[in-house]
Amino acid sequence: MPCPIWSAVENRKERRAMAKYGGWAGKVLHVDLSTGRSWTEDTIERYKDYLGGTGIGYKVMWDEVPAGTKPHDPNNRIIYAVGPLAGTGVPCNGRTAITTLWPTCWPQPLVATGHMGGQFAAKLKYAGYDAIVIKGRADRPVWLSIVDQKVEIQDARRLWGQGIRNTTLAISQILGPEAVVAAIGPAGENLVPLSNVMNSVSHSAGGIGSVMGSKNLKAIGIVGTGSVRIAGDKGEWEKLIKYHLSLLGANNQHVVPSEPQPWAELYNPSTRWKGGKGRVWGAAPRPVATGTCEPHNLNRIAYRTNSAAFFLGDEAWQYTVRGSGCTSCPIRCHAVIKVPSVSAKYGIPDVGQNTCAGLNFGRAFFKKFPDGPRGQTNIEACMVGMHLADDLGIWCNYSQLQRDFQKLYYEGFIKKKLSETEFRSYSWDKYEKGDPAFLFELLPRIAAKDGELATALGLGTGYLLERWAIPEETWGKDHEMAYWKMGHPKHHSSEDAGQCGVLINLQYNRDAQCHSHCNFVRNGLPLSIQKRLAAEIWGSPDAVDAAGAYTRMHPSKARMAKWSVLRKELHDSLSLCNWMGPWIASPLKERDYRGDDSIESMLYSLTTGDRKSRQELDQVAERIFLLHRALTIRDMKTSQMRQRHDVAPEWIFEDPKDKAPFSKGTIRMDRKDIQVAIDMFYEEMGWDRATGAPTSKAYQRVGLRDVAAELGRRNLLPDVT
Amino acid sequence: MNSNITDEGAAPADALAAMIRHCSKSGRLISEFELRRQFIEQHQPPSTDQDTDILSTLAKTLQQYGDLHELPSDDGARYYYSSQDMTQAYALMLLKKLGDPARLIAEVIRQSSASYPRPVPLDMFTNPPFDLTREQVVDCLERMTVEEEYRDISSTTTSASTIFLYSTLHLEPEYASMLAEWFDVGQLENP
Repeated sequence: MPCPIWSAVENRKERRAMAKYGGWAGKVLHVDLSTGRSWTEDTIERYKDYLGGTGIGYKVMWDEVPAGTKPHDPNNRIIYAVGPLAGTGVPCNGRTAITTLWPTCWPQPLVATGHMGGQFAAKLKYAGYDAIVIKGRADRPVWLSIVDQKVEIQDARRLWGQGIRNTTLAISQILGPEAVVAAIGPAGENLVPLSNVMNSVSHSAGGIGSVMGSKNLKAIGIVGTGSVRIAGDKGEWEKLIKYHLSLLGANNQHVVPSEPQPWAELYNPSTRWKGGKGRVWGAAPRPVATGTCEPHNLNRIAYRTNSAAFFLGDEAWQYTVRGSGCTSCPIRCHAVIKVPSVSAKYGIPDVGQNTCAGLNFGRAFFKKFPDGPRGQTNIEACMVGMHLADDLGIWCNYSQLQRDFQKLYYEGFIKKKLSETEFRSYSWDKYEKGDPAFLFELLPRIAAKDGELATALGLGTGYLLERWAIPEETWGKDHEMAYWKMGHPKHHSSEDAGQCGVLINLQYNRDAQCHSHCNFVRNGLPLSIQKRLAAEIWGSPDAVDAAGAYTRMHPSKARMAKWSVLRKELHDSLSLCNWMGPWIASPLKERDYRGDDSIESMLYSLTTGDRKSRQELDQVAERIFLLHRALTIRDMKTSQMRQRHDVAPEWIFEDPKDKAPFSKGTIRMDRKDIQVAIDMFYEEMGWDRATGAPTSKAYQRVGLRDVAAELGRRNLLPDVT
Repeated sequence: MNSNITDEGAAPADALAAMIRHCSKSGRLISEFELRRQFIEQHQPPSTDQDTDILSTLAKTLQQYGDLHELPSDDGARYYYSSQDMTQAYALMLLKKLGDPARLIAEVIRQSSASYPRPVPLDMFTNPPFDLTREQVVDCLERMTVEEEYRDISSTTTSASTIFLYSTLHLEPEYASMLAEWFDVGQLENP
């Protein structure tokens, strides 16, 4: 069903706007699947003040999606948005932010974002778009074909029911080898809330799948043959990119190698900088030595990271083929591993790739394995998990799915809640023994909503607990569950940066996905250097503590928390990777291990030609963050955020060994101290301390006068005299 | 000798500097003995007092090039490295490796416990640049349990059965256990 979108008038208007700015492609593509109509609007006119990514996402949700809309309503939007740095030569620019009403947000769906790497962001820009906004519901399964200016809604009935891999292959055969395909699997089609969308083999955004499925949208395939214009001088650009590259560490901006290297003054076994003297990718067609990874050699950055070795142990070096990753990212955090034993044992390909929770997906279901926690079965479980989940399109909710499953089984909930027939339909002996073959029973059933257990697990934690009448507090007080609130787990909370981690985790409607703080405290530098850098950035060495040796709240911790969320939103809007940045530390001894807190503003200014200082760009980030807050307040219909939203789980105030807060060896927080922390954070943000709602002045300070007015009309501003 | 290391026509000071830098580049110290051997093999100096000539040239070389450094070992031998390709921290580690491995292990553990702070996994000492066998490490740890100078060296085992080592001078046992569990298990489960 061809649907031409271009008009000469629009074209001329957009070209005029884009002549002024580099970076942006200049157009946002809108698609209404109910009518089959598509059109474009000017990015600069409506969205420049929101940069891109989550900024565009929140703006569309605020303007177009009324409070009370449900995730699977046709009127809900799903916004795939990138920023002005996507598709350029800026390192780590491969992130696409996807914004929608979150189906696993409990007890009511609220706005949230998912983020996928891969090649999608760059291809979208090369096709000429900064974002795709999708609404409506097609009357049959479709996929969206974007070949530069040609946008078509294609029949996907033959693809419906297919896994992500076959779908990607089928669409790539139509569009050609240069295409990028973001697809959902059967889980998304079946409206399983714990489902994802995936592009480029292993790059997924969780929580999105069922929203696409509800719109009958199987996939988006893009071919982009254009380019991104850089406004700045070419020589300056090349110099800046080399400077940025020089500050990079390994994955998560860990700046210290995990083993001693001849060039290094420091080493720290806990970092993700795994490459070094004597390390070899053993399963490459010809084994590849990583070398010492001397940091001034910018052509060897990709050899520093080996996510398989980090997560699976040194045994994984023998299985490592190479690293894989996103457009223009030298880090290559997705490990490609080849494990020959799995083909014969489980009938799956012997090569797989992923990182972090995706790599751990399969093994995280099991409490034990027959050959121990770091044996061969552990690695095989990872391979089985990756192949099933990344084809069925199941999201793990940052490993909460697996933690839920273990607790439900070992504490007898599953046996109690299932009929005997259904309970017996699973091979629990296999599960208890740690046989990865058990995953072939469980995961396809989750994707198909086959039976009570699979259906409940696929709902996400909050709705699962409600369905099975388990009080949320049962999860919230269990230290091992890592459950946070609203159906989602912690994501770098008190275990990473004490009160700062807690404050960040209070802000979002799903797991926080913020790495600004943890990438700093885990960077591998000795505490004395971290404190020196912290003093330079947040005004006091007291902003950071040693892991598990937390001190009382301090204003600099609130500044660090504010800085962290603003950098997250900034990265998510520029299309920089917040899993890699910020870059405030570096591996360079001659810089005393300093990074550069202004690198984002330098990159933005040179790319777009819109010169902004670090402080000015931070204010844009604050605008974006406040729009998220405003959406949450509007849709919750309350300004009582402190009481009803920013609430930490009980487990953070307890310790398994009953160690006291602020003693060494615990991440236990103190109740009064956390209230002080919240006070200080609100103060830092200029929000009302009693309610945690931004004041009218706070909105106006970042240019959200209309938002303040709308919230005022709804009586959702705090009563501040 | 590897003929690529130096230019045979180079001045003696330059030749010695090149030898030191070559070794540092490949992650090794070079001893005074090895320098002499290589130098004589390459240059065959005509003087009857070869040792005096080489030592004098070496002293001048160290003065001439700021990146070249001398490290005396416990047994009186001298070793050299270039800071162009090797840090002092790494060079000292290699020097200590030539001596008593128990002392090296203890110093690494103490320094890690004090400055990061962190316990270190036992297996770290079986990887480069330490390259000890597991048996050697275990032997050293057994010695440490009875020798007074190592009474602060202690161990803790994580739930994944990984042994971590720490110094009680800088880390309390419960804190060390918590950190070991965090580094070995917690960080992987909270990626």
